[in-house]
This record gives sequence, structure tokens and C-alpha cells, in this order.
Amino acid sequence: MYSFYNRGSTLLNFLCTVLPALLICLALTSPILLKKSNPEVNINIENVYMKKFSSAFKPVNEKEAIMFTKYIYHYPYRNAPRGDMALMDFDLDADLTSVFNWNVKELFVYLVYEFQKPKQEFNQVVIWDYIITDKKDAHIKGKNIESKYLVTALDNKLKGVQGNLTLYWDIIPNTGLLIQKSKGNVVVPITKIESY
Amino acid sequence: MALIQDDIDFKGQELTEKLMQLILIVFAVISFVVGFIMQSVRISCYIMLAGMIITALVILPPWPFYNKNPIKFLPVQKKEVEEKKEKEKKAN
Repeated sequence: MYSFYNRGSTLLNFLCTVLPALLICLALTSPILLKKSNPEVNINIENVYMKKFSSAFKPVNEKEAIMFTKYIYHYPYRNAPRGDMALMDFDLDADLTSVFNWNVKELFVYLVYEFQKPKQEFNQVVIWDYIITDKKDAHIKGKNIESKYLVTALDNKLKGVQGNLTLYWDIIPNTGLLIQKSKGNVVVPITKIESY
Repeated sequence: MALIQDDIDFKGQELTEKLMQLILIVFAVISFVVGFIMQSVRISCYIMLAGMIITALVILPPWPFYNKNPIKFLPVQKKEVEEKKEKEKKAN
């Protein structure tokens, strides 16, 4: 502590103790604050479309054209596998305002379709996602939202599949652990095939 | 810094260390409490930044109150050889 440089060095050294301690305290508050939150989620399915696709598919109507674009985007190579692809239209009313606290940087919200197959017991397909960076935008309200991504299965067969639609959200903190939460189960059978 | 006199005495050195720890910890506690109440990490960061700058201003420059207890050295004693030479000169 006798000279200018020595004092500066000691100051930086002590800061390296104080700042992590502050950050650890910040990270520890987040689970306590999350316990108080009570998010409300309502999912309602409007329509489920399913169609067998291949590279040589020729869309007849608008919905098929949209699905075909998504299909090409999903398999951006020459010989895309033939198989069943499903698309869902849903209503979503999710109030995640109470999840936001001072240790939340952003929320990654996504809808997951979970279903069982004889060979693969647990399948998860993300059909829609959304990023919330501000508390003001945390109330998601939408009617007849079209899912962003197609539902596919490993064996390319979706007929008769019955699954759950769940809203998941990843809480991305300023410091601390990334926490995943979910709410709202809706059973969605892909039995009714929309035929055109 | 060799250009200016930046060294302080031992009591001053002890005082700077105590002051540094006190100011930084107090600011850390204040920033945590205020940030928690306002639910904003940004405010907490700004308070901590202000705390760092204030601490640096208090402890880095050699303020005069750190030099109130300077070390008292004993007076310089002449060496025996020099004394002998002086005696010889006096004798001559």
C-alpha cells in the first residue's frame, strides 16, 4: 500500500472478491423470486393438418403450399425423405409477466409436442418458439397461430399418434443457472386427417 | 509513479486498506438492497460502479492525512575512519 500502483493493485484484488460475492447473492435470489410467480397458460387447438410429403409433391391449396415450403426448409437436400408431416393451428394465452424478476435476462418460450411410438417411447418436437426480452411483452395472446415447424416422427409415420402439447419456457438469467419450466398440457390426437 | 511523491507512511497504509474494505463492502450491500427493491440489475451495477470510483479517489492519491505519522530516523552518525582522518588533520 506504499505506492500508487500498489494501492491500485490491492483495490482490483479486493474487487475480485466483492463483485463475485455480489453476483452469487444475485443468483441466489432467483429461485426464491421464482417461487412467488404464478404463470397462467391456456392452449387450445384449432386445427391439425397432416399430409404425406415427398420431393415431388405438388401442393393443391394454400395450406399445402405452406406445409410444402416448411418441408423443403426442414430437409434442405435433394432427396428429402417421404413421410407424414403435421402442422397445427392453435390459440395461446400465456401470461408470463410474473416470471420476470431482476435476474431474468430473457425468456425462450416454446411449444413442444410430446408423443409415443412403439419403438421410440419419448419423442419431443418443438413446433413453435418465441423470445421475450421485456416484461411488457410477457403476455402472449394469439388466436389461430400457425405452428412454425412441422411435426415429424423418426419412422415417418404419424397416423394414429396421440400426444401432448405443452408450453415450456427457459429462464435465461443474468447470473446463475438456466431454469426450465413448463405448464399446460393439451392432448392432441393426429387422427383426424384433413383430406383435400 | 516516480515523477511525484506518492508514498505514504505505515499508519496511512493501514488506514487505506481499512477504508478500501469498508467503502467497497458498504457499496456492495447498498447496491444489492437497492437493486432488489427496485428489481433492476442496471441500478445495482451503477451503484457498484460509483462505489469503485469513490474508493479509487479515496485511496489512490497520496492525500496529506495519510502522511501524518512520518517515520523518525535517528541522526546520521559519522564513521570511525572519517573521524580518524579529521583527528590527523587536526594534529597536523
